[in-house]
Amino acid sequence: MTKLRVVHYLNQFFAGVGGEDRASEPPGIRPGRVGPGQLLERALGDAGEVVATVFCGDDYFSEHEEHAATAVVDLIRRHEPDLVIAGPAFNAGRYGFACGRVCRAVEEALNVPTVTGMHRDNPAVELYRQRLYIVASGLNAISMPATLERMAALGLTRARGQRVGLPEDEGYLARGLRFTEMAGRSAAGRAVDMLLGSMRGEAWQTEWPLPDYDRVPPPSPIKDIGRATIALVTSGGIVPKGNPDRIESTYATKWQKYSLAGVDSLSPDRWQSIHGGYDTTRANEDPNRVLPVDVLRELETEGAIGRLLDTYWVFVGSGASTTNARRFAEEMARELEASSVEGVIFTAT
Amino acid sequence: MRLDLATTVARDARFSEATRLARGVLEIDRDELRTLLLEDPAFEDVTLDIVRPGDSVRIIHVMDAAEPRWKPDPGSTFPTFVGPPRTVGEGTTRRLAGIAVLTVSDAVAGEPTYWREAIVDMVGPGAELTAFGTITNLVLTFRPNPTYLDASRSDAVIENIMVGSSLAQRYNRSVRVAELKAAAYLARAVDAHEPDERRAYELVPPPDRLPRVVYFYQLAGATVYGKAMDGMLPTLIHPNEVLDGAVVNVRSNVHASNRTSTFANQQHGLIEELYARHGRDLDFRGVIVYPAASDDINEKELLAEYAVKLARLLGAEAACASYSGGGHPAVEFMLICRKCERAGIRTVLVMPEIYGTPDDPGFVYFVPEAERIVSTGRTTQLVDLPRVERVIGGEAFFDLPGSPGDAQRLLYRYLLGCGTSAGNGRLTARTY
Repeated sequence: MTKLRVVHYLNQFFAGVGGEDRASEPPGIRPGRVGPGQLLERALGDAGEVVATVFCGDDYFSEHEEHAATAVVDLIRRHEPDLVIAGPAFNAGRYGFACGRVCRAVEEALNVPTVTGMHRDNPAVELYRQRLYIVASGLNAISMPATLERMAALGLTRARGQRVGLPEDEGYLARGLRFTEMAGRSAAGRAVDMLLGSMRGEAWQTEWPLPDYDRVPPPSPIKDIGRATIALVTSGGIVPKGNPDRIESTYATKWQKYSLAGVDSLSPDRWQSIHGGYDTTRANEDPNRVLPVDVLRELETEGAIGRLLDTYWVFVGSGASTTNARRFAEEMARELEASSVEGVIFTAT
Repeated sequence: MRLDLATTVARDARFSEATRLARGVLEIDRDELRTLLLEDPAFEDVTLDIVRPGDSVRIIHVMDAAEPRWKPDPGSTFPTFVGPPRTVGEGTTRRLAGIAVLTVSDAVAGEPTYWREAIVDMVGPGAELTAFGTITNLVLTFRPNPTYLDASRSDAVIENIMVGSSLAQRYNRSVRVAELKAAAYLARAVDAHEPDERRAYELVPPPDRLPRVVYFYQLAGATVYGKAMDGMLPTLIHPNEVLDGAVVNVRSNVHASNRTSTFANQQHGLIEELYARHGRDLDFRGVIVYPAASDDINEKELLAEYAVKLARLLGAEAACASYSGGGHPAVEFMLICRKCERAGIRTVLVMPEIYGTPDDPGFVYFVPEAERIVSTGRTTQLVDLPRVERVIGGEAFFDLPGSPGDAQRLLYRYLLGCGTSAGNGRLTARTY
């Protein structure tokens, strides 16, 4: 059996180039294994060999991220690897970000599987855990041998195209991806086991961990509402009649913006709701009740607000994944900021 | 309250000139049963098919399923649908096991189809997900009377997207009555046979002090003694009543994976499990049923308060709670969890993961007290189903593309009962 070709990525320190004084070292390459590569190769056993070691100074990488990633990928590409192992970076932030960025670039540009290793508190974990396999390491190099063993094992599994098991079995940090499978026992049996176990004071493990959403602090109040530009944003699916941009009624993947220039009120023959999660009968009789253009125009005339922005943003909330919703929010927030609005009225349903 | 389930097992079924059990095989008089079902003018015709595990068959447009039961006087078989309005859950009930009655029909005027498609596969991975793939099924495919297809009728107007038109609601009820009539008819035919098995269900107070457990049962589209729960406060029901035909699923417009069929109520996973451990590991105090989908936050609070109060009246120290699926129902479900935990009642939640992509946390709503959750699977995941030789129920899916007989890659969501929060199935989801 031919050995799998493995390229190892390290920072300047672990590559033996030097310490903090050499952190500005640009990307470079050495044939074969270097430093911890010896442990990696031992862990790979007969299955693989380290054909090259690519390195970069941590400062250099963080200061020239795009350029460094491209340069590292170019160096790696020459060796036609079956697998790329990066780090482990333990709890080192800059090194962690470099390992994550290199792995992402390799997976995207070369379509080669990667594995990196970090301590769970490494700041790079949050950025990369969902798209990469990050083996959980200790805080420092004391855990190097054990970490590289797990990285090698997981790397071989990935390079062979085999199914990757549960994070607790394989030793990687959970990516947060939920997959359906068959349990050994009915849900009812598992539920009563869990209940009785916890009543007896035994440890239990939920099958579905609660999410950890970030909290958004409310902004300070608008100083002069009578002069403020106010925008409307809705998750209620109000679109021009006929839904010209085909926004999905549920599980939406996109948002849209439409002009309200010259519109004093939303007439049912020109506007409609395409939302798939509530009864839209009333909304279609009077779309203003979901997107209150009529009232905002009145307030504009009364001088209660400065003006209503002539653009509104719309998406459909029903079943939209939080990943998509987060992207919608970021994209729409950028546009709202660029429109220099001072306030947004967000109508849900 | 003691229920004796006297079970006769049918190891197969076939059509014959009389309805009877012959050496363990259920013989069905097709003409007699058709005549019985066509008593209801709602139907122009009905087709009967017998399908078995391993048959290369896919059944689509499934509405509900039931297990054959017969409960002679002074009992009542499926009260208010077949028998008179009497309390069930005590006395003897004849049960014919090994066979289910499946009802199938195209949609009628004003019947929404977004949540209506439900598939039962008799072969391949779909067949392993629920009981229907492992037992014989008598499939009743109804053709509605043309008046039910007349969209110009005033009663064909959709009331709301959950229940559709009043015409569609009447038709759904007709299909249930027919299904339960067939179930009663089949079980009655084995009434004279010595049962293969007898099992008593009785909540005898345990001699020792054991954790007192209640079950919060969120109903969506199901009726209790024929009555819809919508707008009602939570109420108490004996678990025997659920197992004995008091809870019937009347709405077909519910995601198939989450749909708790009448069959799944008759063999309710959580109730059976709590019963099995009653007197040994726990003291099962009762079932609190409550409606899903009130859309007013004050009503949700009140509903949760009331349900938890009932649990306290029962002396509950622990609870299982199941979630019917959907957006609004998630809120009152989670509020019950919160109020239970705050009242010192430890809860385990049983719920399907109905929203999102793999990277989505998947909750419509949650409370931090929801620390113990059993997942019945992320039903938005794709599953591969094989090509089949025969499709029962129609030429085309409601909303899915392609020909139903072809190999399919579709969401678990479309497979009847695979993720029901009654806990009957083995699906789960894990974090990778």
